[in-house]
Amino acid sequence: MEELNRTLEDVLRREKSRVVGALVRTLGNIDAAEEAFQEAVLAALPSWRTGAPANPAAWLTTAAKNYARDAARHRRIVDAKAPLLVEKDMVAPATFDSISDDALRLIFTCCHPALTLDSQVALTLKVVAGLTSDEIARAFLSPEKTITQRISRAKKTIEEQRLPYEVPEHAELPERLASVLTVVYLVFNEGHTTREGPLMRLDLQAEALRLCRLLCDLLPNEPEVFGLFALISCSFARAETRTDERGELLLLSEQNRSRWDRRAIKEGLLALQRARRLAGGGSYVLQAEISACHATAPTWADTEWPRILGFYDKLLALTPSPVVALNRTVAVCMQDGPAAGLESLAGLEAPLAGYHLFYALRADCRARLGQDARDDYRRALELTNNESERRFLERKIDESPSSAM
Amino acid sequence: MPDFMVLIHENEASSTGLTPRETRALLDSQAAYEQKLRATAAYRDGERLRPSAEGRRVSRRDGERRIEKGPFADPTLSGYYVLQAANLEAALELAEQCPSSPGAELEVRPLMKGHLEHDKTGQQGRVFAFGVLGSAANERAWIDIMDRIDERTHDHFPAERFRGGVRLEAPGRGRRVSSSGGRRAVFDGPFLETKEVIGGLFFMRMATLDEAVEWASQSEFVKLGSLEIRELWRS
Repeated sequence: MEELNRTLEDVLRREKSRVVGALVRTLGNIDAAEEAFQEAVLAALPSWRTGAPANPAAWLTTAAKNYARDAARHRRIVDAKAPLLVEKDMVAPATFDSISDDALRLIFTCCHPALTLDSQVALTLKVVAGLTSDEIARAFLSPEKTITQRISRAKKTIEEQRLPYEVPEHAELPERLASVLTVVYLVFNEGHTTREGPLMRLDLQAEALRLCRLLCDLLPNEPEVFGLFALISCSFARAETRTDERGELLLLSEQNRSRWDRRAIKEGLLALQRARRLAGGGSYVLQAEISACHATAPTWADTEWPRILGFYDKLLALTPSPVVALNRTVAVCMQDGPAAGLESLAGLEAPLAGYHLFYALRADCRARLGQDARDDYRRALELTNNESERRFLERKIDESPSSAM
Repeated sequence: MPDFMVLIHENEASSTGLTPRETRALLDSQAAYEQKLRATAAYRDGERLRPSAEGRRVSRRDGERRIEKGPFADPTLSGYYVLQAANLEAALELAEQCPSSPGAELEVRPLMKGHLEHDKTGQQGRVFAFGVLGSAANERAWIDIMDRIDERTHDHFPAERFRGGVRLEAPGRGRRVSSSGGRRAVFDGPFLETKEVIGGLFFMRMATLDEAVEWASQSEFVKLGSLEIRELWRS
């Protein structure tokens, strides 16, 4: 029984975006589609007891459409003015391509720039990834009510502003795709380093990877999609080693590389290969290149720093950002030493005054030069709520000599 | 010039034992090899398969369908190239230059017929490779099985999903080369009914693995032989 539920759960989560996608097209809005989907799932429970059907998506879509048709008939009797659902649409067989397009349309609608970023993330996790509001709330450490409200506000915005349920036109695609990728990246990043509480939540990283894999299947010729997949997969491979057995943060330089997930790294490298071949990649491809350098380095010291610096230079030229400049400094330190690192940090304090990693890195450079680093460590400590990072910084303060040597 | 398929049989256990840097070096050298092939016009097609752990083998015996889940015993098919060469000897020479993981073997077989579609993974949806397998007491009987499968299935493919496919000549007309350099016959020993021998490879777009398995188990292929289903790697 337990096993059946698990199988069923897997099937439902995997198929939800396809089924709901198809239903939104016929029923006209996400709420109606989700309701019909839920009804179809209820209908599935008893009849799948002996095993899921061969094509669960088709089964669920048909069951959901039947429910919607019955509900529409019922409403028509209750309210003669209700818009009629065209029944011919409901029985029209979905072609192979139309199903993929439905899923893609759904993603673009959920990540529409007219919605707030938080809403895009919540709606995508709910509607596309098939998480429950409760699961999303737990993943983001928010009250369930906040998430539920966020999702219903988003749906309302879609209705009121009549956001089109369609894949953007070619000219519009890069910009709209960027917003979809931002959502996936945020899901990943939230799982990578949470703003508060325990360091990572693997579930969200796995979810981001799954969403990105879906995008790879739907947009197989977009280099940035494969770049983001490679970036996530190469980082995901290291996830287990980012903390020690007591849950303390371990830096990349301290991690046990033999425990990195080689399969995930290979998956990342192959995605990167495709991204390169598809020419025209942007910042995700460059970040993936950097991540792949780290993932394939046998040790921290034996990392290809010049190559990494080269990618950072391109990344900075493409998206000038103080955070990218900060990350580049890590490579500068490794290649040219902490003094060069301090020099390259010089102009970054003003834009990064609220960012704990700026102070953590400057502290590290100072400590390595034998200078007093405690003020910087303390400043970093004030700026982060992540428990694991806090304990790491406290440890560093304790270990720091009280004055310059 | 005739076409040859180079089937890359990998030892998955040893290829997953490679360090990430070794894996990257291998992938880079394979990319360089492919680029070189493309430049010489010998290259006709090539794909990489996802790990056999994600694969399925489907057959039907006495009306009962049998579905075997991967991973399959090593060596397993991990990819292929189709090359144009003057003869088997020339094809073997090209195949020998193909960088592969330790313990891998490359099987070179002349193509009998079929049609190849390029950029199979460039369209929406997932693409699965279906390896047509058959077993028989001897090569003559195996060819007979493949002929019968061929007759029953040549108009079998739903057009919107089909992405090309080829039939191979019998294994007796091919050779194997090992990554350590040796050449030998495709089989060490005689034909055995317990040995499943690949006779062709075709490609279909499918939404999910389950859908691919379902299609396979309803097909004529599995009544006389079996199908190994493996998703193509988008790389």
